[in-house]
Amino acid sequence: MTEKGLIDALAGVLDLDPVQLNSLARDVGALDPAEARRLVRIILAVPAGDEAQRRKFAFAAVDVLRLAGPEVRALLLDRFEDPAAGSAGLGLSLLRGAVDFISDQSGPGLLEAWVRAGAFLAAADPDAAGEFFLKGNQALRPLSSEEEKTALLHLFRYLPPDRTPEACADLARLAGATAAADRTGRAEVLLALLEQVAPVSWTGALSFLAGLEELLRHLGWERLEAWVQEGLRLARGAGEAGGRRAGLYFSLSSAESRAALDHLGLGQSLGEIQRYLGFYAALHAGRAVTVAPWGALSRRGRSELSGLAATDGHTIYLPERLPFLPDREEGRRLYLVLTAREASRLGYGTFGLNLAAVAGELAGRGFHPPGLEDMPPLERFFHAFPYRRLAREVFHLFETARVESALARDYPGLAGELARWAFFLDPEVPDPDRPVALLLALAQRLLRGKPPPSGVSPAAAGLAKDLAGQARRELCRPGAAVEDSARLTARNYLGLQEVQEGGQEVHLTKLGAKASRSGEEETEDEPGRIGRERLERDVAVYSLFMKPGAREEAASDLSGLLEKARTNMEPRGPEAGPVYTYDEWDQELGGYRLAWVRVREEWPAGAADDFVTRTKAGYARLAARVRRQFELLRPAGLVRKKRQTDGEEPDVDRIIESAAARRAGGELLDDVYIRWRRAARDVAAAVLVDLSGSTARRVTADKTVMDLEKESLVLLAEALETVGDTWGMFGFSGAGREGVVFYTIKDFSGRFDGPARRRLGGLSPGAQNRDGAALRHTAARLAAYRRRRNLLIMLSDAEPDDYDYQGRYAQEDTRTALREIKRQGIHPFCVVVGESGPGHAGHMFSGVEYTYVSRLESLPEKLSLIYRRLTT
Amino acid sequence: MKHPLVDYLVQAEPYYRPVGREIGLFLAAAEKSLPVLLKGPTGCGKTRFLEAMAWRLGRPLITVAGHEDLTASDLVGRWLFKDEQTVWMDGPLTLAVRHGAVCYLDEIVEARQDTTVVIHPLTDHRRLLTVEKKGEVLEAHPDFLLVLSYNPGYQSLLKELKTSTRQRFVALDFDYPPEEDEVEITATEAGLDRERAVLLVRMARRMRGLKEYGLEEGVSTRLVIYAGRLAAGGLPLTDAVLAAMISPVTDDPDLRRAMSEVVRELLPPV
Repeated sequence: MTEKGLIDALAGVLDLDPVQLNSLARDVGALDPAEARRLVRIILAVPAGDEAQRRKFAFAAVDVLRLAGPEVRALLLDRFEDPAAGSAGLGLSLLRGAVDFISDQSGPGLLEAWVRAGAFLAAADPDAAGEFFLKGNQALRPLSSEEEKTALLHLFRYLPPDRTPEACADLARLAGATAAADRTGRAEVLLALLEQVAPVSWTGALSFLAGLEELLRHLGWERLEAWVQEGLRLARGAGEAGGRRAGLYFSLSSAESRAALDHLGLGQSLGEIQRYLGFYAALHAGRAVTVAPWGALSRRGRSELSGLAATDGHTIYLPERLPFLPDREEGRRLYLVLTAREASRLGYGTFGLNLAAVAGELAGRGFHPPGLEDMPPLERFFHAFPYRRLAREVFHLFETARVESALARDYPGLAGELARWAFFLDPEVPDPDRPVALLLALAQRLLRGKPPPSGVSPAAAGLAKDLAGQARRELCRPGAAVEDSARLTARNYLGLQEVQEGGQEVHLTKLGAKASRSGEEETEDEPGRIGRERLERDVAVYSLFMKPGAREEAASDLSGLLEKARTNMEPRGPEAGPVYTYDEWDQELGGYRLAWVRVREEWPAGAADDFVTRTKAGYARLAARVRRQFELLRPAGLVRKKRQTDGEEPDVDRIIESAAARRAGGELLDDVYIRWRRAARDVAAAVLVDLSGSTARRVTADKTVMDLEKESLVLLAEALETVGDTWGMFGFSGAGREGVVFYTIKDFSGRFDGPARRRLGGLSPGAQNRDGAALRHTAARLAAYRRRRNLLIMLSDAEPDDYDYQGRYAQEDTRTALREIKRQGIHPFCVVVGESGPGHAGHMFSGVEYTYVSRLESLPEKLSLIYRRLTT
Repeated sequence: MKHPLVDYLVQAEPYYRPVGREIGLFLAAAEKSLPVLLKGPTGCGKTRFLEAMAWRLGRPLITVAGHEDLTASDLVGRWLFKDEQTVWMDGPLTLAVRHGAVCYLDEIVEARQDTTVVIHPLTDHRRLLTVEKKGEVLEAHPDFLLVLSYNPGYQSLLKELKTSTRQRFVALDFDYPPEEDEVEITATEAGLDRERAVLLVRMARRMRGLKEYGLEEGVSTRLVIYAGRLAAGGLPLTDAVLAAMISPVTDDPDLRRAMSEVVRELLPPV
């Protein structure tokens, strides 16, 4: 075909005006003739339909081919000639994306990987492929190396079909994580691991990335590989369930993955000794105190606390793990010292500052704490100063000196440990742009008996010496109180504020001037600034008392490491109402998914009308029958027990027997008394009702499952009130494993009064039902009110159902939950509302008792019989 | 004939170190024959205090320890069977009422509710004890003094002392003695040097801060003294603390480890 022929052919199908045609002809003419012919054939082969789309495709293709190098041109043309290439729209996306890559000057290898990944996607989901072509390059931008980008794109051949809509988002996540790893030079390691995990479980690979930060805190890069291999090994051993097992393993939600983490983890972890440290902390604090990882702290709280460990007066925050101390015993010792120091701040009254006692000192310098009565005194103290952060830092320096000196004095066995771990007790290496922070760090150093580093100006050294001297004189003595630290803070604050405000240059002269005034020898010419590098190097040297080999990372960037050590997961956001976490049984996995379900407690909204009264009136005769049935269960006052060895009155019959026996030469009987014992029922019952959407189903002509359930609850509540047992009534619904909602209709300690009745009346079908979690939570609630006999009665339709909680999986979890409950000494009983049938109830409730109720009329007999049998 | 309660007399003056005005208060109440309620945690010195007071007053002391199955008959008395005859046997309360003694009902909240029925008429101006089974109404001897003890820290809602009962008593509040006093008491009672007594007391006071961890009953002064005696007998201090102060109060391994750790820290390094 000649060039003219080509253009004519295009003009025939594209419906172009003369100007457009001229421009297209010119561009095609500039292409290699063979490629031009291929292109025209491709354009002609685009199925007729959306002509505008086809026109756009033609122009874009010509543009791209003009810009691209020979390999890329061949690649694109090959791609378009592939019959699976799809629509013009998809082609257009590909072309637009290609332009993006070409303008980034990407090499042909990367483009090929990108085209292949897109083609793989297109086979399953053209829309997702289109998005991938358009945004793929954007997603890869965080990465700088073409090899890394290419390797990531190669992973997409493992993308499972149901994941295609997320392809672009997944690519962005992979790229983000790889870029982060790249910053520490570990991108290659990470990609190699992903290449192994992705084929086994794509979501596992993504969860692995999401948890990577935590994993690294525990394992470091060196041990990460071993942990990944363990997960892959387990997955291989699990046969068909391997993918799911890997998914759980890599999302850190299976017991085996946590166990592997603990086993492989470097150094002591807080989790293993957190409870013990809690007791230890309380002993030092002299009162209850919580020990928690840094991750439990809110963002705002974190900005106010610094160091490896800190306390806000209620909780002691500690690093999640001490990976820089591979010897776990050493790690435990450091945890102890950190905890003791923080706990003793509470013990020695840091947070009990008597503000009135230092008010004079503050007022004399123009500082006035705000009159906010509900603010803790220490906070009010800090609020008296213009720069709260500075006041905090100065106070921290002094107060730490006071507390540590008291601690070493009162606990001679701890003094050596305090000295040994001194480095970790100080705040992290300060921001070098804040001379005042460096100055305080220097004072801290002097307090620890270390000389100032050689690069420090005599002026700064003089000032730091002065601060340290004051602390030693006034705080490191028996009887020094937090008020003394506060006074010293007030006294030194203004001078230090000048240092802070002066900035580096001004700061030097001011320091000089100050030192001269105080009579010390001082030369103006000293270039002395507290050099950042020097201090840091010094700190690194400082830390070398640690065992050799333990420090390779620490020496390189210690402050970063400390920061890493105390940073945890994202801080938790505020949550409405108490939330509880439960494990869930996975039959295929043959184990629990750890902390898998979150249960939130709520009070249901009450109904305005009195459903309870209406139901009772409607079933007056039935209600009376139920009450009679249950009244029989009520214990009758005192019970007279004969033949006791001790008691209130003689058992005359027995005395006669005894006398007769003795006359006959027998033994003397001593159980000749009668004793009155109070006969008490010792029963606690929890009633749990399924409030899921399926309860809207009709069971009779005019009643739904929910109607029957509610009416049954009314009768049951009346009955339980009659017997006088401890009882509570709860409902559950929700959606998804993060969103199980648990409603309290009547708490064990509450009364079945107006509000409780209205709550019962207001119950209505909700969303899903995750029976296992609801059962576990009910048992946990019941635990606090346990009696000799404990009962859990569940009313449901025996159809557990949630998004990822169905069929066999759900039944097995429910069955397991019921078994757990039995093991706890709670007797479960299930009432299936509806007709008995071939359902799964038989399997799900195997090993526990259950019954079907389809007519309310039959409920009282059944319930009272059961209740009587179970509780007497 | 010897006095029926001679065996109940306190033989030698018990060691008691007053920490407040409790002695004056008690003697004033005894003077006016007012019943006394001693409130305070286990092992803080209530019983010892009462022994010292009985010695001072020169009156016999009859002690009954409250327990779950203690009934009114256990206090008042019962018919025994002897040679096919019934013989009346006075219970400890009746003995004290009849012959004049200090009757100490220790941890009476533990006992069954019906015991309060016999106590009430003894606590007002009538000072009467009804021995129902014998058909006898006893007027209390002038030397009779009723003393109850009660541990408000006990976490048992069911066993709260009834207000109607409490309101019949003059109440004396007890607690573990202040640090300095406790050191003195420990050193004296255990025959231990001051230095080690200080450590023991400091340890005990630390452990008392753990109430919220299920240790409602903290380490009592009694236990500190036990530890002191073991130490005075030559046991290393850490072992004495473990045996007398840690093991008796908790079985929790984490708690025990934490306590042992702090004990080691209190001692100078070896």
